[in-house]
Amino acid sequence: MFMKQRKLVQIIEKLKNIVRSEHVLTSYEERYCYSRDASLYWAMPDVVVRPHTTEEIVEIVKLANKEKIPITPRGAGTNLTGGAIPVKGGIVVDMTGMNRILEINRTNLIAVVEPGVVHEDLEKELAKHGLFWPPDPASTYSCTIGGAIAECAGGMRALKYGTTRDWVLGLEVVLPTGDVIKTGAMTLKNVTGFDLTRLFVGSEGTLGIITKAVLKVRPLPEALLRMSAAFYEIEIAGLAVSKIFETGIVPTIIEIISIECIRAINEWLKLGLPEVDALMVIDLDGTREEVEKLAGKVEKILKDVGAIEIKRATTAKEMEDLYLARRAAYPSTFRAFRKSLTVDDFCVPVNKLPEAFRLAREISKKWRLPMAIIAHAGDGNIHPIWPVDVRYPEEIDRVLKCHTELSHGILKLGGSISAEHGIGILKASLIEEEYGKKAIEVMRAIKRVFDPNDIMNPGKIAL
Amino acid sequence: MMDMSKLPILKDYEEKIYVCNRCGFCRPACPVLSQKNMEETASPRGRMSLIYGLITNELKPSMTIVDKIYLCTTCRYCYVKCPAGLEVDRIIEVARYELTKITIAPPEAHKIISSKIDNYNNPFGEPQFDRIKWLQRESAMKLPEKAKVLYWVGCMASYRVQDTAITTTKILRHANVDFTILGTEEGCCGSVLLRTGQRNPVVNKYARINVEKISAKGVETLVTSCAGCFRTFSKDYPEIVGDLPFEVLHVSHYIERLIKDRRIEFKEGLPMRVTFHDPCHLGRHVGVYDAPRNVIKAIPGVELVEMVNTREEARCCGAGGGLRSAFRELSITIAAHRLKADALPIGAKVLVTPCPFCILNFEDATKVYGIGIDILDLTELVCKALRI
Repeated sequence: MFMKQRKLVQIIEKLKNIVRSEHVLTSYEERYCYSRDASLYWAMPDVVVRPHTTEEIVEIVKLANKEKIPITPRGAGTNLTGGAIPVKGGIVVDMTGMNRILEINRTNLIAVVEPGVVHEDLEKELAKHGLFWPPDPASTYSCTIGGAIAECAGGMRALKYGTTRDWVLGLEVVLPTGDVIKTGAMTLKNVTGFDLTRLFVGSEGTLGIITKAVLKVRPLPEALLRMSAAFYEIEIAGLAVSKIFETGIVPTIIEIISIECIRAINEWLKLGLPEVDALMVIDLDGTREEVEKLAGKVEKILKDVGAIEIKRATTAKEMEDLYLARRAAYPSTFRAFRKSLTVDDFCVPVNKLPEAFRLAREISKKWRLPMAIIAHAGDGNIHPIWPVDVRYPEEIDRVLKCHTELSHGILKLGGSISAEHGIGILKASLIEEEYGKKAIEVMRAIKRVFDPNDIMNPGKIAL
Repeated sequence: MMDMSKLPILKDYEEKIYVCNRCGFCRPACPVLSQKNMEETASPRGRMSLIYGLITNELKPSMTIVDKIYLCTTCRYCYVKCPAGLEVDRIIEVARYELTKITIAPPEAHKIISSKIDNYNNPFGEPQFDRIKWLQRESAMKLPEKAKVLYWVGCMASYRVQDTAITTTKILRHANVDFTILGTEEGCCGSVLLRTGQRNPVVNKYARINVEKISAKGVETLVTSCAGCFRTFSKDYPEIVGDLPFEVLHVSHYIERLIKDRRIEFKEGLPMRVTFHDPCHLGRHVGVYDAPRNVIKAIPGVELVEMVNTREEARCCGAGGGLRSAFRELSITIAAHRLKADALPIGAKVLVTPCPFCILNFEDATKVYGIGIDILDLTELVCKALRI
């Protein structure tokens, strides 16, 4: 608990003067619901507040800044590195009530949204206009756009389209001082001063609270072609990615799932996938002619590299089944391991994928941990998934040690410790190893400019 | 009395509760959460967190927990969305049972229902002889003492949505089905009690008595109107009293069979554009999705237009799980949301559903929110098509 009881009572009263009293949650049970996200961490907030306007947020932040109370902004709490955990207590600001899509403009190719909009809701709404926003995190069902921006979410399509930072044109942000600033513009180009937009994307709630976002959107491609290939060894699948790029082709997605997932999916959904070491799913988008032409080339590369059962989805059902297989990969690991899961996140240069796969398996074996791999392989992004029974601290400890050792190995390969899940608590101790001392000092200095009292999501990103 | 049933207790789900990854995929699926403006405490994950807290002793049972655990229609949509396949609805039910055991649950509204069932054999506290009042509207209705088919009218159709009872019997008569009803002998199946954590009277009394009464009629097939009764007879009773000595069918199932056996034939067309709402306790709970659709499709002239959220993904009407009885206003806003968000955008003028409880809630929603859509029971649609 951050605040002394008497102080807390006063703060709660003040918060109730800012937002409607039912939007201030104070009971132990209510706060308990906000003490977790999808990571392994846990910490109780002193109070949860649910604002619905920028003005309310300004007042909340001013109050917190004056009283030097920590603030942890929270979207849907789907974070995997602990970004939404109020490690120092204080106020959790639940942004999910601000969930309006304010504008979709097909001519200007932008969408303006509040941060609490659920990713899938936006995707559905954009599709009605023949548009899409390329970042597609696996948590699309529930994650919010604000959360995706704060964590710089990626997803499968990041290979061709990049991650969230490439698709945000501008933001409205409430700074820890209570000032509201505008970053970027409503336009597709903008170099007016420093790129503060990109600074906020991926800042994990440590610099301010995003209250509005201008997103760049694209027309849905005319055609989508999907194919799959099986591999006797996951390393060969990794090699295949390099070979595809070497011919100058950049598919929309190249996904790899490992045998643990394949077996569980077959058992569960009876899709009859080939039960070999790895399965690759590739999407190509563009005009119909383009995708047909590229598919032929990709098939040849896959064959040359040693893939088996190279299949092009020719019917709607086959398209759907392959998509289902990929989407089911994450749920399937629950079925494979029958435990809760830790989903890790690394990125390596694409030509290091085979080594990264090998390393992940070796280190998991060393720590006696079964592991499944789901990889957005096209951009070198690997998710090792380990089962963990949260009742046994020894098991959690082993998972964390395995994660740390693998992180060291990934960095040695020239990779990054976080591709799309952020740093949060989980990776805070590793950030210096990736960037060196000075870079962290710069980040801390930037943080102080925005947040002199260190109230914004303290304890994250080693800031 | 000892609980000898095979109904699960919280301990049975302990392993599963630890599997919850808190990924939050269940959130948007929850009909309550969307009406509570996405407040975590009203989400399936929030409720799972509270139950997690109870089994780890990080939380003590409290009225706040009771409030949150009862904000659930047990619609099971979260189960469909859960990557780990956790039966959140059942976990909620057993948590309610545990909270009831230590007497801090259920909420007052549900206690009253229990006592009304105890005293009047129905959750409304209506006189038992009024259970067959609807029969007076069906002239010269004589029903045999024993029959192959027993139509279990259910409290909702008997007292509140009587048109359903009337149209169902009309169809059965039209098809010359050898059927009867329990009449004033019929009681509550106990669905609402099981859903609200008050399982003891069902386990100790109602299940056995109901099965005995039905069996005494020499019945081969039991047909229910209500999706809730259907779920209770087909899923819960076997866990309480073992296999039942008769088959249990929902009326949509039975009409589908009558059509297949050519005991019902639609001679005239019925030009109508309808959409179909899957009751949670029929669809997600027991897996019956096609039977009612097959009935609609068999009617010449009727065009079935599906909502985007349909079958496994059908949004709840908001009535179930004791929500309507304890949180009426919230329950009706959920029904209104289903109509406004899913039915109206596809241009549906008529929504057909085979559950009187869904009908009651939808009709209330159309009145309260002035939504221009007609709500029809599947049996009403069939009667219209048969011109009976």
